[in-house]
Parts: sequence; structure tokens; C-alpha cells
Amino acid sequence: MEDKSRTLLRVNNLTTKFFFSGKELVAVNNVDLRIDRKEIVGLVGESGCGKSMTAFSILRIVPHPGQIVSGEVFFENNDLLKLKGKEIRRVRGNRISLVYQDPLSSLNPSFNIYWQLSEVIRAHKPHLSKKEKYDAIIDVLNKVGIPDPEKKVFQFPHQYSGGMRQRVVIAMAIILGSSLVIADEPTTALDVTTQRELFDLNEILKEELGISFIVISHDLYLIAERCDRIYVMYSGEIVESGSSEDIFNDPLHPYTQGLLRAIPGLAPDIDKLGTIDGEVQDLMNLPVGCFFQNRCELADEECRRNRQVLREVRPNRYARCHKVKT
Amino acid sequence: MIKSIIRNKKLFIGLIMVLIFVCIGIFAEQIMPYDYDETYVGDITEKPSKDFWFGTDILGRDVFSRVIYGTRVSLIASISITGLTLLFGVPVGLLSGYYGGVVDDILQRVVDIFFSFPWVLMGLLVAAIRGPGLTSVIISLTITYFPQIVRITRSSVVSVKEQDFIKAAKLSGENDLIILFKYVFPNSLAPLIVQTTIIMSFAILGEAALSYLGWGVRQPLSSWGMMLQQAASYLWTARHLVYFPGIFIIFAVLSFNFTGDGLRDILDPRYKRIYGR
Amino acid sequence: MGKYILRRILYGLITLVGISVIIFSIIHLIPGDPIQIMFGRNPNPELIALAKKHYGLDKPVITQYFIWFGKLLKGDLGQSIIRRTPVVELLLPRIGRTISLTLLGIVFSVAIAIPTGIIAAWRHNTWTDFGVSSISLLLISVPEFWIGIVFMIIFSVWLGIFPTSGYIPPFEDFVGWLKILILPALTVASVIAAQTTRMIRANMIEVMSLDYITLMRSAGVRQRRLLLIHAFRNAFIPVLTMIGMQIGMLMGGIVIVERVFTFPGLGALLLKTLEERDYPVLQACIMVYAVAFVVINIIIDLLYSVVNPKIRY
Repeated sequence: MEDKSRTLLRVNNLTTKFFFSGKELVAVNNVDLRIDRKEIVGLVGESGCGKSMTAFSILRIVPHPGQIVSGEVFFENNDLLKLKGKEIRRVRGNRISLVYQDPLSSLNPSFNIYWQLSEVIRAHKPHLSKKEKYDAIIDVLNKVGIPDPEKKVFQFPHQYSGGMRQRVVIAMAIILGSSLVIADEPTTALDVTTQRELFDLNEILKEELGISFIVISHDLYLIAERCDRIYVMYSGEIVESGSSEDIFNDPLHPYTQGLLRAIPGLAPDIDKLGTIDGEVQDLMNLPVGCFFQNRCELADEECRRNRQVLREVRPNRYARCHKVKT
Repeated sequence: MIKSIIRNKKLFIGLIMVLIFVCIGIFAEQIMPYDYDETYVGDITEKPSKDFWFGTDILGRDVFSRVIYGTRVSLIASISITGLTLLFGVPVGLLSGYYGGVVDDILQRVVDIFFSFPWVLMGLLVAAIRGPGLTSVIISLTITYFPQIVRITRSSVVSVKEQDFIKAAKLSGENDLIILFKYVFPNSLAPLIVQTTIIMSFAILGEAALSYLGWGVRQPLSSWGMMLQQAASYLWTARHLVYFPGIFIIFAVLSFNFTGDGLRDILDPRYKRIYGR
Repeated sequence: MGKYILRRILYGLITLVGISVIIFSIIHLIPGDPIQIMFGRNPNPELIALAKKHYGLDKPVITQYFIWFGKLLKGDLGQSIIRRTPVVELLLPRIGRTISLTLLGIVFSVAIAIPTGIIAAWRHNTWTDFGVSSISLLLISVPEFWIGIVFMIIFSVWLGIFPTSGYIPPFEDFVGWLKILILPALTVASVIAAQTTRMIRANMIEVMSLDYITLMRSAGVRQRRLLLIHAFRNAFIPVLTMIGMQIGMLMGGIVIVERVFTFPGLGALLLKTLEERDYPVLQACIMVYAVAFVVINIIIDLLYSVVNPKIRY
């Protein structure tokens, strides 16, 4: 049973489509998500499976020619999809923030760090005095672990290292007290040590400030280590979900199993290194039936004929495959 | 390939226009109803009529024929200038970028100086030294655009020089020149092709301007620019002398600009996937 | 920062000296003799020799150069051979006129290009954008002098608002002066504005799709502020570089425009003295151009370093 008071974000039946001349591309296909307070949730899948678009849909910054077609996004007693322009702007950056994958390109190269952070403040709390702003900025830089912030705050992005830049981006995300941070491939461009440092930071922020994270990644290894719960996505749909422990010890959906087989030493009792056959599903030409059928070793008539439904096959474990026994 | 050309409207229209331009230039003699230099109606200028579609100019010559003939002059000028700039510029850029060193540095400084040198000044000086004429125009405009080609070629060389497959080729003992030609040069093809269209349009405009100032093409040749120079004093009475050469210049230059723009659209990796990273 | 400025100025001065050598040598390569032209039909060899001596034209070229350069440093630009008046007198009033024309042209082009480019990028893929792109493409395909002639036709011949030639100093009649300047300035501006608009539009479109803009948008910054402040500064930097490269074109354009409108400025003088082979005036003219050229380049470099923090630090 869900404990409603612990739920921070609830996404129901979210569908986002892209409309090209005559054709439709379903990027996010009836997705359900739940994020609780003080949780780090992972959203995993290959490139192009819809994870980033889900995040963009939650924040309603889906680029043209995409459109959110249906669904509900409940956050702090509001359906975000029904909010007006001014109201959703009050949420963005203020209550829910986005952190991008490439720290190099996430910061405006022509302005110093102080200015960029004060822009975030200015967008939501323009009435703050200069001193209040300065204090808030130095304070948040300390929280994310930037050394000597008084001096560094007036420098420019190119004078910061990659890891530090990502910390600044996280600072931008939490400076106004967001309760939810969506991190889109936050460590792709960084080396392993820096990645670990940043994830440690996330843990600290989660524990001390009560911030929840949605971490979007194609890197299962990372997600395995650092997330409390995981959603696995394929071709715009959730195909499996559960706690990270469960998913790694007992992957249910063939796709998840394939992903795990491809990483050496990760899954406990599989010692062969495997790959998933075929290419990523073309979203403009979705097959009738299960989307994964062309790459699945277990595919049969049932798979090819009927769309698979996401079922709760164990308590708090969902999978979209009729082959999974309850 | 052909399909992508047709799909891109700008490129398609541009190429057709270029084709028209070139054809008119080549078949000028067949198209001209009269001789471009022959006086037909005495020293009077006449408005467009049945006999003289574009009218006549102040010396009684048929404007239509003169404009058609001007196409050939522009064609010759632009092709020569573009050809020469490429002929000299590409090797210099390739060598300078590939071998680097002191020679490259000095060359770059020299190129820099010439790069923003006012082309009008260059055109005037060359014309003053050698005497005006089509050749002087070609020389001065070639000098003007030479640095740009060197720069473009050089920068694409530099960007490729350090890559592994070049080092592999060197290690396997391949001749430097062959490496340059087979591996390095193809990288600069795309920007060079776009730049060629730019030079062509610039050459047409440049020749027109120099001829307008009186330091370009000389009698008995006639170019659009020269026609406009003669037309400038007749704004009150004979405006048709201004419109027709101008329209032709615009057509020719637009053809290359469309083509260049269209090419840039295709060759630029701006086809980022909106969806997915 | 101060060191950078000094270095730049020093470099500029050296360039100027180099240019003066080049100019001097090139001009003396021009065939034709001002003395011959002056005496025209009465070539009395003695008089010619005397005249040559008077103007110092009998000495070897290198010596002539040093004499000239020395005088240059003292501010003495010599005497016009054809007109027998000090060169400075000829140049000075014209410099002011050409500068005012150039400045007005730059002001017009920037005032037109920046808002137009930004608006076109904002309304990307709409009819406004298409219109702007088409017009700018058209404008860069037209020769400047033709635009000038057409302007004259429209505004002087048909509408009769502006005069086609002549010149009135601003002190005598400010409105009249302005009327004379407007058409040439607009002509100069039109081509440059078109190119600048294209570049600003393209850069703005590209920058607006970059990650840091999306990030700021997701943080709640409003679209207009994103466009004008966050994006513009980054989009503008390459434009500054392009403007630097356009200085040459601008100067050439001034010469052409002055001829079209018979505007009595430096460009017109240049053309005239070229025909006359009046060396001293010609040299001085081109030196003025060269100085202006170098100075403007220095200013642009400095502006560039202000706008692009990567250079400063």
C-alpha cells in the first residue's frame, strides 16, 4: 500500500508525442511513476527510450514539435499539467529542478558563477536584497562542497573543473529549496572518481536536506549502486520497476535481464557476458504487440499479438511481460 | 544524393539559376538579337519597345544585347577568379597547415594582413599600376579572396592533423604528399565548396563595382557595372538603363547565394536528433 | 588588462610603419608622372627637371620614402602636386565628412540588424522569420552602388525628399546636412545590416538550443530574458569578429557610395587623385585609411576581450 503522505511526485498515464508532417512518434507512452520523499530513484534505459522526455514532460519543457498528450503529474497537491504558465514557472527551479549531463555545456560561458546563481534567485525571489542573495549563494556553494566560495564565486565556468561545474549546477538546482531534483545523465561526461564524489553529494543532500532525486541514466552500473528504487524503460514504456536490490538480484523482464547480462560481474549468478540482439526499436514504426519482441529470445505468438500490460507481479514489483509468473 | 538535393528547395532553385546564368553566358552570341557594340538609333536613348526589348542606351546601343553580353563577362570574371583562388589557395593552405612551424606562422601573419584589406583599394591600386581591364580585375579580386581560401583549407588541415589515422598513415611510411591528398584534403571539401559559391557571388559584385568606378572592365568589353556607370547620370530620363543590368546582377548573385545557403543546410550537422541524445 | 592594451597598440604601430612602406612602394609603381600630367602640352625639359627637383622627385625612391616618413611624423603631409596646396588642407575637411558618414552608416546598420536578428530568431519558423531571411539574402546579393542608385531614384527623383548631391556643413544647416547624409548612410548600412542580421539570427537560433539555456529555462527564467541577456551575449561574440573582418568591406563601400552620391569625402578624393597620379595626396589618403583601419581593429579587439571572458582570464 502506498503511504500517501510520503509521496512527493506521482505521474499517471503520461503520454508525450512528437508530431512530424503526417507522422507521430510516441516518446512517452502511458508512463506511471512515483517518487517518495528522501528517495533516489533511477530511470534506466538505452538512448532514445524516452527517459529524458519523461523528465521534460514533468517540467513541461518538451521541445517543439513535441506535445504532452495526456496524463497527470501530481506534485504538492497540484496537477502540474493543468497549471497555467505563470504557475508552472513558479515550480521550475523553485520546487523541481533539472540537472544536465554535460557540466561543460550546462553553464553559460559568458557570465560568472555568481551571476548565474543570482539569475535563478531573481526568477523566483526578485525581492531579496543584495546581501541576502550573496549569503544564499555562498551558503549553497558551501553545501555542495565548493572550496573557498567567496573567491571562486566571481570566476567563470571555464576556470572551474568538470566536477566543480557539476556541483555548481546542483547548487543551482537546490538554491531555492527544491524538493525534487531531476538529474539527466549527470555523470556521463565525468571520470569515475568525480562520479563517485557527486553521488556521495546526492546522498548527503538527500539525508540532510530531504531532497529527492530522479537519476536518469543508461549506465546500469551507476544506478545499481546509488539508487533506492529503479524504473526500467524501453521504447517509451516502463517495462519493469522495483527496489534496486530486487532488480539486480532478480531481474524479471527479458530486457532488464539482457541489460544485466551485458555488464560483467553485476548480476549474481550469470557468468556469461551477453548482448541484446538487434537495434533500438524505431519509435515511428512500433510493432503490434510487445515492443521488445524483435530482440527478445522468449518472444512468442502472444507477444506478437497483444500489447503487454504492466502488472504488479510481486509486492512493489512491476513487470511488463506475460511470461513473468507472480 | 540527388534526392537530398531536390528535397532542399533553396539548393535546387539555386542550381537551376546557376545553370541559367552559365547557359546565357556561354550562348550569349546566339541569344543576342543585335550586336552589343553597334549603334542603332543614333545618339539617343530610347525606352523599351518592340524592337529593343530593354531599350537603348545613350549611344544608341541595344541594352538587351549588352546585358546578355555582360553575362558572359561576369561569367568569365567569376570563374577565373574562383579558379585562381582555389588553384593557389588550396595548396598553400594544405602545406602551411600540415607542416606548420615558422613558415606557417609567418604565412598566417601575412594572410591576416591581406585578409581584411579593403578590396576596393586593392582593385584600384592594381588597376592603377597595370591599367584597368578585365585582367586587372581578376588579379586584384583573386588577391583579395586568396587569404580566405588559405584560412579555410588550413583550419580543416589542422583539425585533422592530429588524428590517429593520419599518424597511422605516416608510420606506415606513406608519402607526405599522398597523405595530404588522400586523407587530409577531403576534409576541407565541404567548407570549400560552400566558400566557392561565396567567391563566385563576390566576384560578380566586385567586378561590377570596380567597373562602375571606372577602373574595371574596359571598352570594347562591356559589363553590367560599366553599364550602370553610364546610366548614373540619367536617373531622371532613362531609368530603364538602371533597372535591367541591376536585375541581372541580382539574379546571378542570388543564384550562387541560394546554392551556397542550400549546401550549407545539407552539409551542416544541424540534424541533431530532437529526441534522445 | 592594461598590458594587453599596450601590447595591442604597439603591434598596431608596427603594422602602420609596415603599411607605410608598402603603400609608398606600391604608389611609386604606378606608371604615369604627375609632372608630365601637369605640363601636359608644353614639355619643356628644363622646366620639368626643375619641377622634379622642387618636389624632390629626382632623388632615389628610398630616400624619398624616408623624407616623406620623416615629414609625416612631424605632421607635414607635403604639397599636392597638381593643386599646389598643402595636402593637409585638402584632407582635413574631408576626413570629418567621411567619418560622419561612416559613423552614421554603422549606427544605422547596428540599429537595424540587432533587433531584426533577435526578432527573427525569436519568431523562428514563422513568416516573420522567413521574411527577414529573404530580405537579408536579397540585400547581400545586390551591389551597393545599385542600392544607392535605386534609393536616389525613389527618394530624390520620385519623392523629391532628398537631394542627390552637394554638401552643406552641419553648422550652416543641420537639417540640410542630415538630409544629404541619410541616403548614403542608409546605402552603406544596408549591405552590412543584412549580413549582420543573418549572422545574429543564425547564432541566436543556435545558442537558444544549447544546454545552458534549457537549464535556465527549467530553473524558471523567462523567455524574453533568456533571449536578450543569456543568449545574446554568446550569440554576439562571433558577430563582433565578423564586423572586424568587415571593416575592409566597409571602407571600400564608402568609396563607392561617395562616388554614387558625389559626396565630397575621402573616398571621392581617393578616386580623383588616383586618376591624376597626385602622389602626395594619394599617399596621405591611403595612410589615413590605413590608420583608421588599424585603429578600428584595435578597438574591436579590445571590445572583443571585454565581451569574451575567456580572453581576459
